[in-house]
This record gives sequence, C-alpha cells and structure tokens, in this order.
Amino acid sequence: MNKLIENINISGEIQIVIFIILAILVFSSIVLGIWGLFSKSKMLVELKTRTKSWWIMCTLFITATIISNVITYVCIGFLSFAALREFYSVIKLRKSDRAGMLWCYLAIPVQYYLAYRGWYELFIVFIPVFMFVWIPFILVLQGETKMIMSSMAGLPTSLMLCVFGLSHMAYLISLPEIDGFSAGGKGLLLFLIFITQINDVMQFIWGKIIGKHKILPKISPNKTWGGFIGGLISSVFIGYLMSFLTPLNDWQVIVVSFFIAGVGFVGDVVVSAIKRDMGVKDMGQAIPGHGGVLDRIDSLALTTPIFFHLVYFFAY
Amino acid sequence: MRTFFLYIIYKIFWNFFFKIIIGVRYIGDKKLIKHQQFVMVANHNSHADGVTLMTSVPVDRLAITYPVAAEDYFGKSKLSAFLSWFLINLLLIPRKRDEKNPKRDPIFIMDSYLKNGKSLIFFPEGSRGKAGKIQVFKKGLGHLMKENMNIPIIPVYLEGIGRVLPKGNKIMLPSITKIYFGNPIFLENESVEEIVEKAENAVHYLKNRCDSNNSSKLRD
Repeated sequence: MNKLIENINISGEIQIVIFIILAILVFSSIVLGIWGLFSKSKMLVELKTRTKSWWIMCTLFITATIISNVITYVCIGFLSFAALREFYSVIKLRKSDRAGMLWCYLAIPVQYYLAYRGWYELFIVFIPVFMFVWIPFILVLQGETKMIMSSMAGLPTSLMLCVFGLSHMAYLISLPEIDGFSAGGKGLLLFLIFITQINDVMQFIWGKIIGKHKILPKISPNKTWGGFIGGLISSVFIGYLMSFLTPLNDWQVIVVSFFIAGVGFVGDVVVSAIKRDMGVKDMGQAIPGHGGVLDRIDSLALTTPIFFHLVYFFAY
Repeated sequence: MRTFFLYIIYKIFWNFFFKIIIGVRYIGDKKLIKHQQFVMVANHNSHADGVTLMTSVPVDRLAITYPVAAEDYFGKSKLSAFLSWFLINLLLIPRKRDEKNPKRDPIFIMDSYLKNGKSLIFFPEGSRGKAGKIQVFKKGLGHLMKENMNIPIIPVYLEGIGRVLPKGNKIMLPSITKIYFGNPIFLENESVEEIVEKAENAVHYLKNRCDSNNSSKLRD
C-alpha cells in the first residue's frame, strides 16, 4: 500500500486532508446510524441519502485527483458539461438558439485544453471576450430577433457559470510550482472544494441549530441569518486550520476563506433564483438527496474564480 | 451473429452516446426484463425516439426488438433504409393501409413480426407531436393488438427528447431526457377502441406523474 501511494506521488499535506475527509464521512455515517436507531424522521432519511452521495462524490473526486493530471482535467471538464446540459434542460430557450448552444458546448473542450496547456492569457479571455463576441453573432445569423435579448444574456451567462468558473479548478493544477510549497495546485484545489462544501454543510447545520430570521425568504426558504453567519465563522476557522494546503500567510488565508464562504452563499442563491424563475425544485436528479449536478456545485461555480484570482494575486 | 453485432454497437456506441452525452435517465425499466415479448407504446416527439427506447431493451433481446418507423423519412434512399436497419434495427412501414396488397399493409407487416415472436416499439400518435402534448392515438394499435391479445403493452412516456432533436433539425444536442416506464397492460377481451383508450390513458398517466415530479414542492 505504501508503495502504491509513493508511485502515485501525493504530498503529505494532501494525504492528511484525504484522511480528514474520510474521517468526517465515517463520523457522520456513524452518527446518522446511531440516530437512526431512535428516530425515523423524514429529515433523517434525506440526510442518509445525502451522506451516501457524499461518499460516492468524495471517492470519485479523490481517485480522479490522485491517479493522473489528465484524468483530473477530463473529469472537471465533464463536470462543466453535465452542469451546462442541466442548465439548458431547465432554462427556456428558443428553437433558433440551438446553434448558439452547440457553440457553447464546443467551447468546453477548448477552454479545458487551454487550462491543460497552461496558456493563461488565452485561458482567461477565451470565454469572457471571444465567446462573448461569437455567441451573439451566431444568434444574429439565425435571423430571429424575437426574444433574442434573453438568449444573448442567457447563453453567455451559462458559459460563465458552468464553464468559465469551473475551469479555474483545472487551471489550479496548471499553476507553476512555488519554492517551499509542496502541496501544489492539487492542494489548492482540495482546499477550495473542501472549504466550499464544508461551508454549505456548516450553513445547513447552523441554520438548523440557531436559524430563526430568514435571509432571503422569497428565493431560498431555508436560508437564515444564523446559518449564514455561523457558516461564515466556522468556514474561516476551518480554512485557517487548513492553511498548510496553500502558499498563503495567516491573514491571507482568513481573507480567502471569508470570500469563499460569502461567495459560496451568493452562488447558492443565484442558482436558486434561476430555479424559482423556471418553476423547478432541482436542476436535475443526478445526485440522490442533492438534486442535480448544478445544485451541488452552484456555490463552487462562483467561489472558484474568486478563490483563484485571490490566490493568484497573493502568491503568484 | 445479428444479436452479437447489435450487442456491440449498442453497448459501445448508442448506450454510451445516449446515457453519457445526451443524458438519458430511465425510471422503472426493470419491468421490461420480465417479459419475453412486448409491444412498447410511446409518445412521439423526435426522430431519435426509437433508438433512445432501444437503449433500454435488455441486450439479449435487441435483435428481436424493432422500433417501428414510417418509411417516408428513414426510407428516403436505399442507403438510409439499410443503415437504419443495420445500426438501429428499425422496421420501416408504409404510412397508409393497403388491404389489397398485404405486403404493403403496415398492420399486416407488424402483425407478422409479432406472430414470429418479435417485439415492437410503437408510436401510436403516427407523427411527431409538440413537446409536452400527446396527440390522439390512432386506431392501428387497436387493430394490431386485437390479433395478438397475449402480448403485453408497455406504456412509456418520453420527456425532453424534443429538445435533443426537434422537428426540422438535423443536429442532436445534449439535453436531459427522462423515460418513464409504466406497468404492463395485459389484454383480455377488449374491443379495438378500448385497447387504444387503455394505452392512451396509461401514457397520459405517466405524463401526469412526470409533470408533478417536475414541479413538486420547492427546496432550497
């Protein structure tokens, strides 16, 4: 076993975090199991399906990150694709938007190839500049102007949300090495996903314990001030403890964790608002207990670019 | 040989394409496996309907299951007729009934397939309808099943395939598609009209289930 891990070559810091993740999963499964002996509430059943899905997602994520870099790029690219597909299955588009949608799908491999090669200057402008010109032009070429405004807004937004944001996860691995920082891009990737997801969980838990005043009742009935602030404080605290995964100093880690927690909340409510507008409960049913892919990664879609550029500014 | 070929092409290509790329989800397809022979009855929104439903058929029965399609589209040229049989296992039938010439009569052709132990995937709406609206079922289904009362009807509702390949489009785009499988209908002594009505009600029931699934109470 030791030999295997050496071959795969993951740094000591990452091993610690993988161990922590597995410990959290084991702990929550045991707690839910014991709780299940005493009660059979509906919430418990949902928590159990959610935990089961967490097990699957964490296993997939950990194996995808440690096996090889190329697989990591492909997996994150597929995540983008699945999110974009869910987005287009839910939002209302016109028939003449299909050409634009096709180009949006084709943008995914290009964007991830740029991340893979590490061509930062192109990577960072390909969607916000080039596709922003190309997609409206494609829509105009269809010759159908009725409701074209909403399509011109919706298609680039879908690209920014599902492809541009998430592709920064892939670029984290392409970042150049820094002396004396052994966790590397994978450490940063792990830090980002861990803090974003633990922030979601913490907001949920604190909301159940001390949540009274609703923060945005019309958009997200379960979000409370208690949950938001409790989640924010615990995420900053956990981020501070995990700072060995990043090349940042103490106050920088606190700033970055604070932004991840705050922006994670923003991503959550932005996608919720789209769901309310379209009259659906979830974006899909891909992950039992969580809803669709986009329901799970809604906060990641916005935290990723913010995290990336903060770290890029501080450390690179 | 044919079974093996279809096994390969469905396992390697169609199943991968529809499940991973297009995003097809099956809800309750286990019911198929129990029946050696069946007639699957589905709503019709897209040219991709037949092959999509074929991906849900157990692999050992692929070679004896035929999605029925009108020859005026898939049979435009000899080549496309051949390919649609070779790659998808489509059964092409003429649109109009022809009582005098049984070889050109759709009901007679389908009946002979069923009599030979084959299964069919059948679209009783006749032509592709608008997404989310089921058209009135045609009587052909009733005439066909009246002769084959021992074969169960499996009602199916396809949701979202109209976005994958809508009418008048040539390019397929990925979009989440759900296939709802209903309980099989066993016929006893129904008249032609009653058979059609039963099948139609079953598909409508699945549609309602699908609609209520999509808009049940809101979560965070």
